[in-house]
Amino acid sequence: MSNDPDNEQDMAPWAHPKAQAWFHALFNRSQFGFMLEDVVKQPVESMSREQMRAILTFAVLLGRKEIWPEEHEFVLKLILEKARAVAKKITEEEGKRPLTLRQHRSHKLSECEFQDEIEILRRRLGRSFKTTKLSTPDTWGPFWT
Amino acid sequence: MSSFGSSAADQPPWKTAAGSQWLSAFQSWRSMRRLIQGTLNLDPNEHAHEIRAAASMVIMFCRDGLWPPSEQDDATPVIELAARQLSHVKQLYETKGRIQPKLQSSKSYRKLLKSLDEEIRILEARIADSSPKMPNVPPCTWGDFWV
Repeated sequence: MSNDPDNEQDMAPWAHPKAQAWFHALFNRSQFGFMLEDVVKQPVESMSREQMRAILTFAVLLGRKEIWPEEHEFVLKLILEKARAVAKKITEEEGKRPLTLRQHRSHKLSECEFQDEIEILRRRLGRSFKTTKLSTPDTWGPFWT
Repeated sequence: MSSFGSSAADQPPWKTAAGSQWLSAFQSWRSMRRLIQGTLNLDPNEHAHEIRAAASMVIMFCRDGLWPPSEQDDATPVIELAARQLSHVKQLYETKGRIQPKLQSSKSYRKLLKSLDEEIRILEARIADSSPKMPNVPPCTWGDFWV
């Protein structure tokens, strides 16, 4: 236990070099980065919004430099690109189909939630100019309880 | 593959039908969960940082439908293990504070203990019979989490 809390420093669970080495090993042993890379390289036509949101969950929760190994950072960028492509595809598809008012409302809610999740990743990767405060995506519920 | 299920709109990503199906099939997530559980079984005296890192994964991911993706398994044992091991880690820091009294006046030290307390409380609340009232904010050392 070499962390010296006497010094003013970042005390997050992922801040200590040993914790960062552990996250790195976790990614490598589980082949996490490579497997996600394979998933997001699938053609956009074969991916649903729901599948993409599940993938984004990992990117949103783990996509910070102390946790996500630098050599797999490109996978985060791939996830962002694919999520935006899936969002665009679904918006186009929905624009062509007849919808009930209820379906329309439901799709708008899903779209907003998806965009909120994408925005978190965009900011992490420095690809957003928005400055509004970010909070837990609505459907994620009371996340810390 | 279109996503025309109307119930997905108010569900978190890990609870939608397609999201849940993908999570169940994602082999790396299964391996990761096994490795996290393995780390939580290590000796806190030797691996305090690794155990806290693993416990942070449990805090982030241990929720219905995400860990485990199927309803056939029970996440309670891993949450209990994380809470217990994190308590050991906290005790180690408290002991360190008693041995080095000047630590007690360190802002970082007090913040670390407060955060460990919050992390343990979040885990304990997840497995409590009755849901205790908890502030819906991340532990104090986790920063502006979503940024």
